[in-house]
Amino acid sequence: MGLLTNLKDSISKVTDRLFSDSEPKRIGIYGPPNAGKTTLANRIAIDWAGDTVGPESHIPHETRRARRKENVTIERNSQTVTIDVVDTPGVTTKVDYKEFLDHDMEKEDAVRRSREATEGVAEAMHWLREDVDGVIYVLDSTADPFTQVNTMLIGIIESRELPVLIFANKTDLEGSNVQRVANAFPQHETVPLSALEGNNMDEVYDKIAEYFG
Amino acid sequence: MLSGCPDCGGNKFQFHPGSVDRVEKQTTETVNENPATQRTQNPDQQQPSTTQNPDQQQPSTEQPLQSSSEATQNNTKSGYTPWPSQRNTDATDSTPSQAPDSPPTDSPKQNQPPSKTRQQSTDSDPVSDKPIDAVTNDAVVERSDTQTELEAAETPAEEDSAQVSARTDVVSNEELAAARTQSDTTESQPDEPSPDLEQLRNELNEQFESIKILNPGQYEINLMELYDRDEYIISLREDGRYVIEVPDGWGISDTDE
Repeated sequence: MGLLTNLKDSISKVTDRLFSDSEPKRIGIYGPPNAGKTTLANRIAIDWAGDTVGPESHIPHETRRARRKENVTIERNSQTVTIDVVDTPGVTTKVDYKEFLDHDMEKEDAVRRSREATEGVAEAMHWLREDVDGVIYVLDSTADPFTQVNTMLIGIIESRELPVLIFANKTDLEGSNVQRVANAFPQHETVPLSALEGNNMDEVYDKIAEYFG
Repeated sequence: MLSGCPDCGGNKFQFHPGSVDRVEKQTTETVNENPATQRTQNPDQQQPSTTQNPDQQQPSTEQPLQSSSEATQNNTKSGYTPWPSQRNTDATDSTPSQAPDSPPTDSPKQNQPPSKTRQQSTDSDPVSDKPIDAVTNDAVVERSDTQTELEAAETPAEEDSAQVSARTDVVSNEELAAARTQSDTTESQPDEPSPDLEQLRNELNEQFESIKILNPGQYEINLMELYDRDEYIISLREDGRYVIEVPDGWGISDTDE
């Protein structure tokens, strides 16, 4: 009996993919530097594809090139949604190599990292314009969400009428304030989570399936 | 600085240094007996100076360097004579020990043509007429004595017309304030346009610059400009140039030529 059920489910998944009306949606993970975008991308990729997307670091601008994990299939409530997860570099309006010097980095390396981070911002903006079908906007819930970058990016996303979810990350930290994030962008749904600890990931996947399925 | 002796017939002067204590000890003991400069002062001139508006003392603060140098030149003729005001507790209070405490009252009494001081006073406060009138009349009385007096007398003649104008055409405080504001703006206008234009250019450059390289490793990024551009900046060069990827059909006419 169980064997038949599993076989039925497998056939159903295949047919769903075969007859899906479109390619996997590219979901860009956006946000300011050090918000936990790569940590979230890795969490999703590990949970549903058994692999990681890229290295994580507490040093800002660790991700300086967009990385994509294709065909990540998420199952929720007997439904499946297949997405391409695009982990993008943190978006900012200023990059200064001096901020890297505090992390025991040589000046030459810091300058190079700064240049690559700036190129990464350009790439992220390019992806936003050309290649994403939906956005997961990740914010550090311990930081002030009322910033020029956040306002500008959310405005661009809205102008493109892309589906967007706001994830208030780092809820495991003491200074986390999810409500402040929700108040900053009341027109969008805010989901609290800790990508590092894996807290509230069920709701995260529910919302991903709901918004991008 | 030098101050006239009101009880010496206008031929005694005493140096009061103002704020420089070191010079004071050297010069306050000397009495300038130079006749050429003695006659330029009239004892009567000292009276108005003590009654002048404190605002009129401002020009005198520029004078200590001149008077001290002149006093230094006259040091060879120095010989201490008891200052009459030491005997008479005069309103001028020109006692050396008291001089540093009351420099404003002594300031106009300098070894200088009085007309200059009065002219500055006139400029500084055209409303206060009486002291200036007294000075002007005194200067005219002394006109025939020396060349210095002639020079002094020429300026009072100019002051007369200015005084007449000041008396007849009294400008209200509001008009003065308006005139000052207008003069300030007219003076600043020739200087400001170029900074404004420069600032405007910089702002425009910043608006149209996707990535501004401030220094190696320091960048300012215009997110909207990046988002709006068709071409995609792939990499930055250290010389400030970009490597861009252009979309299909971008600049076809240029490449065909």
